[in-house]
Amino acid sequence: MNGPHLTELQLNDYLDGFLTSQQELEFEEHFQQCPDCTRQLKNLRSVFADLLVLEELDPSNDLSIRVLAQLPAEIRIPQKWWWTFGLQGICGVVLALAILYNQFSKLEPLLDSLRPIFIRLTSFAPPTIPYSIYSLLPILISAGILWLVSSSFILRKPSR
Amino acid sequence: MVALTDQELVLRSVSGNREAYGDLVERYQTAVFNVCLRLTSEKMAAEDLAQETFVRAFSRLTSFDRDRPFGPWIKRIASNLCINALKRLEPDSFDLEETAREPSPRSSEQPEAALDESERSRLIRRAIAGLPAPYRAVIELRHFEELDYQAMARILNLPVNTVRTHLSRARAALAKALIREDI
Repeated sequence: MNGPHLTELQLNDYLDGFLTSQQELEFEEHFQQCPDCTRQLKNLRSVFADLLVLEELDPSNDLSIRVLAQLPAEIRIPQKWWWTFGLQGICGVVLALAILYNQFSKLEPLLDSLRPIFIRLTSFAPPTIPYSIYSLLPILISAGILWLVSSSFILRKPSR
Repeated sequence: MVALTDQELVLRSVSGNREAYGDLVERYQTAVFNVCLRLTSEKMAAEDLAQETFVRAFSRLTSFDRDRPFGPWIKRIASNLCINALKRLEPDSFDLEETAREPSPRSSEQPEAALDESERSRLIRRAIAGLPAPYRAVIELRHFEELDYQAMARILNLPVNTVRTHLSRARAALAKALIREDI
């Protein structure tokens, strides 16, 4: 405690229950000896009590009519961009890996050394594409853009 | 007929049933209006802000956690909206340490010996209205929404100690005004 009386902040902390039990005991001892602090505490307590019994007023009109007239046509569900683009990103990575895997078929010496392990893999090796990866790139990019644009149309919610 | 719960009404509102949302508005319009009234002290402004609260809340219904009560959620939206409106009107007042102002002087009428409830409420409301906006905000958040200092500080974007000081001064000013009103 600072000085002979409790500060306004200390009284508020006491009423809000933000004191330790030890502090609370000290404050209660102080109230027994200090009529000034007790009066201040009583005044503050009456504020708490008054706010507790404050009656509510009704709005002048029923707000529901005005509110319903202002509502948007539908609730827009926030798009989870990381889900939409994350999924497409994963598909893109898988596609890229598939192409790279195709290129791996050129690494026959390595595959030969791993043949005992990947016997199944090599026996069902995918057919090689007779184009270089660089010539396929523009086609893949175009397909990706077309995919993004078309999926945004397909997934769009119809407006009422 | 058994009345639908708030959660059921929210669920129906989200799936496009506007009548259900109308029922929710009817159920909570008084509570929301009173949050706005305590913060703005003007009936017309409070009605406009209450209306805006419900319109905004409708767009956010999908983010409402249906395991929690609807009342505190909608009241929080209302208080945020009003506090932001007050900040726009008085941009510096929330940051000032010295916002203390004497509550508006009461009229010359003499207090009744025994006040009835509505008269008592009217005088309390007038005492709140006489407080500066930041003080009204802390009174609303602490006494009516029962938030702790940290939550209040986050909403008001103020340091915890400033909130604590505001609250202490707001209560002192209110106590003074209520004593003057002889409540």
